[in-house]
Amino acid sequence: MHRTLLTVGLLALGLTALGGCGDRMTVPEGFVELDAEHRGIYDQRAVSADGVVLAVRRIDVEGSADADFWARAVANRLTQARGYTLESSEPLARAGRRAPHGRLLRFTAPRDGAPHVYLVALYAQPSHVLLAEAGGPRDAFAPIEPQVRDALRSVR
Amino acid sequence: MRQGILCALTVLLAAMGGGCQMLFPQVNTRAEAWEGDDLSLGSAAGEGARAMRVPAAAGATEGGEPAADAAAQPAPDRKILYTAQLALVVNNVRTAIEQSSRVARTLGGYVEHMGNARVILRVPGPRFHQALLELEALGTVTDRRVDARDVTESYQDLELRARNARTALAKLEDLLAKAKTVEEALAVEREMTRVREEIERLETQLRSLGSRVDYATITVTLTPVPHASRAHRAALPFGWLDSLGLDTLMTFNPCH
Repeated sequence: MHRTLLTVGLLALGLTALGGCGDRMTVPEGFVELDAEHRGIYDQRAVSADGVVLAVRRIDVEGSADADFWARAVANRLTQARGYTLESSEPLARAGRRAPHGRLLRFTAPRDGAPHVYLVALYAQPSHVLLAEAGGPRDAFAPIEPQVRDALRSVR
Repeated sequence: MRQGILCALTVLLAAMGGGCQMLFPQVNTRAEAWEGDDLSLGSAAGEGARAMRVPAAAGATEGGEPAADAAAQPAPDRKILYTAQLALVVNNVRTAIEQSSRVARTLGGYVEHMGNARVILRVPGPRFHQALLELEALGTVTDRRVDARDVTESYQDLELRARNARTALAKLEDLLAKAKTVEEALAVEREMTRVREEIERLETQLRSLGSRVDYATITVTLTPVPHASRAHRAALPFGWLDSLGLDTLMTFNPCH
């Protein structure tokens, strides 16, 4: 009886721990991960000293739409409703995976009068979408964009 | 001798187009026409001026002529003054203004005026057509007006008048050298002052006209997409799409 309870307890603890970890990316050098108080709606959030922000979150969805569907929905919303400019949309494979099943969108938009860059990586899963986002002032973003892209690919 | 100087002055002025009171009357008349902001030229209508208003939906002139023909390359020695007014509906006015400015700078032009919803661009004449195409791609064109005016004769007329005025000034200088009395010298100098002013005015007009020919003027008026249209096009039932964007990502609100 005690052994059964212990097994169930460990299993529950393990599942809780797995669920609690959420989805994460490998944060590049120069970024600091934020604690839960400043994480907001995201599972993981990090910021650089120059104001570039990285974040990951999981969105539960119905149906089984692929990454192209979600990429188009995101692009439509941001360009039509927010005035963002879509600069590129490209297939994306997570680090260590061969087949690309995600998409990386690159937007530009003014914020507080200054040009900004906004990247969204989408990975479609049967019941959810993994979203990895990065944004910041163009001047601060451009020099570290390769590292930021690597971080968006590192989501697991 | 005095009578000789005055006689020569009278003959010179008469040859330039009238007596002392009527020196360069045509030049003065035309100068008034050039000084306003309106690009319309008094004499342009008789010189092959073309003005077209192109409904966006039609994509062609009222006569069925392709709109792009207005920007067709003229003969090299012709002076063509291009102007255009574009009205665009865009998703984001501020972004579109920045993009319009970038188009002008990329093509070797510059921004002459930038307002909240209107930008006036100057682009090199030979890049006028390309600039129009790139600007039209920034949104939905609701109005498009293109004017191409041949101002060659006006330009040549101004050049001729300036040349004649300079010749007259040289002759007046000769007369001044021959003046024997103060009265004669003062009379000649008065005329020289008038002629110098005319030369200055003509040269200013020439520079202004030359600038307008070298750099076409494109006025872009921007209007945001109506909210109703946006809502209609973006009514997907996925609330999380609203949480995307820089504002959510870059705002550190503990209650968020």
